Amino acid sequence: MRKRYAMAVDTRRCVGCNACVISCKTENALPDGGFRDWIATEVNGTFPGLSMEIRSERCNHCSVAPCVDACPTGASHVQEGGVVMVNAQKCTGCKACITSCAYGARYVHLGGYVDKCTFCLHRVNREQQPACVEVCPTRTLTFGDRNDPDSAVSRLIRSRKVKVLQPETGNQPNVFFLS
Amino acid sequence: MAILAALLGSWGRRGGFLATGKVSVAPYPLQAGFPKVRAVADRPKQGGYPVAEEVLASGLCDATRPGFAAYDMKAWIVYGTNLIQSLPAPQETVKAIQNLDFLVAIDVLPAEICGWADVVLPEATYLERDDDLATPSYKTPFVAVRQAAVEPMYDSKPGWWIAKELGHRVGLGEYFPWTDGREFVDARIRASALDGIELRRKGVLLGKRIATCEEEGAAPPISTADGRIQLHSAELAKLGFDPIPSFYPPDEGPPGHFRLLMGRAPTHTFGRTTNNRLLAQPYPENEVWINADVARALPTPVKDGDRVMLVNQDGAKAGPVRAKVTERIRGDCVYLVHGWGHTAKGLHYARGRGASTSVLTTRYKVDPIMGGTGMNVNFVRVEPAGGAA
Repeated sequence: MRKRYAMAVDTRRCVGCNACVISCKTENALPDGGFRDWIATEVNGTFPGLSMEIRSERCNHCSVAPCVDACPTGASHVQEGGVVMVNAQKCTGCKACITSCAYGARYVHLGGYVDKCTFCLHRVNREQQPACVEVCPTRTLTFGDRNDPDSAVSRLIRSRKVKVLQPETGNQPNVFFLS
Repeated sequence: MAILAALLGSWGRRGGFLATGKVSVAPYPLQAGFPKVRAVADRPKQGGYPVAEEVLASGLCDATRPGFAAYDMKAWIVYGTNLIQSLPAPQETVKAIQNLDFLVAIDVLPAEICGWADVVLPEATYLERDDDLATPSYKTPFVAVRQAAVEPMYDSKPGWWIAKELGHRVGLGEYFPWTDGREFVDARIRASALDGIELRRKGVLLGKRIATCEEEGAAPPISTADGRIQLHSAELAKLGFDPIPSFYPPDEGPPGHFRLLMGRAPTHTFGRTTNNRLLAQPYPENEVWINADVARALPTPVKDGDRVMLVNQDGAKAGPVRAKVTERIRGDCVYLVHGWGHTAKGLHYARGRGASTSVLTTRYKVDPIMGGTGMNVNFVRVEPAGGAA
């Protein structure tokens, strides 16, 4: 069966240490100020009745990806495992994809093209985990094939309370937040 | 904390205070025994704290005051700590330094204290050096070997090299008979009959998992004479202290002031990584947390992200620092992550970013029993940063 890569982010484990952010920057040699993943902290309620959720966020590699539809040159495309990628050579830096993304997952690289999370496909194809998953000290992140019902990520999505960000967009995100 | 654990019945129970174990490792087999160690130098001539072996923080500066300690301290060797930021009341630290003849700073990442040092010995980072075996207390005890992965850069040297060279230069060379850190560690591995090849390959050897709580069959860790938990301490009563802790309400701050609390962030290690360019990108500066209702009601209301100055009860100023207007703090306190507000010119990234907790900690309280330092006893007011933003 074809692979469908996905990630589960356990918000009950994440402490917001930014190790995922730093490892992504070094693994992918990102320029100063460029981020492919980031920490979001959401606080609800008023003191002292509070709840808080910390999320390690990145591109959702949506099954229905508006960024790919918006791209006039075909630079944004869907690769193996459903991973949304940008071909830097084809990208003109027009930012149509940035406008179409509901998650702010893309930025303009100093090289003049748009850059984003690749689920570290270059590592995954070598049987390695994405850099952010590899370094997470609290094992918040689980990456794998959602089409394989026995994969760790499939099991987590089945067994835990799960949400995706902005489901109302109809984008069908593939990053799942466990709570 | 221990008393609370006892009252709640969690002492020695799963989820509470546990009995942990350590892997026992043999010392380096030294031919000559160590010379007798002289009395602790920083113990005061009179007074002091009867149940404390050593007084941290304020104890160091006190001990450097002429005539205070068992013998006058003339030099500090400061190892891997930026005393200018890590001690309370930096004005006292600077005064103590004036009493010294000589100050050596050994550091991986230079900071303000290096600017006060006569000599700086730059140490290699932990990925560039062999360190001693580590055998921390844990539920599953283990022995870890810290191995150099790359060569040290510039003039930096591993800690073992610094110790050995210092030893040789003060005539104690016979206590440093090993060639390098790796040989020293290997000798300990051999003397402990550990599998050195496996340890070097994996980095860690796990010991035997031990029973850590009553549920696993371990007796609760109790060291009293009758083997029962005692909340009332006869020893403290004899010394004239409260035998069980009494509540003394904390001092209140002047009107319009907030108690200054301080803490850590998981992205940075104390103040020493705030100059790291990578870490500085997601977390470039600290913020002063202010309760949302209180921020709105200030004489000059503060919005999230505004830059403000903090001024403490003694007029010490820190900032400008961004305000984080949040529900996550009570209204009578403000909070800062420690480690910002660096002043050293060499810290190109960190210098001038955020607010220093140390500058605002002009006062501290000392626990009369243990000599422990209480630093959350300062009060600040929040002022607009004005043109400084």
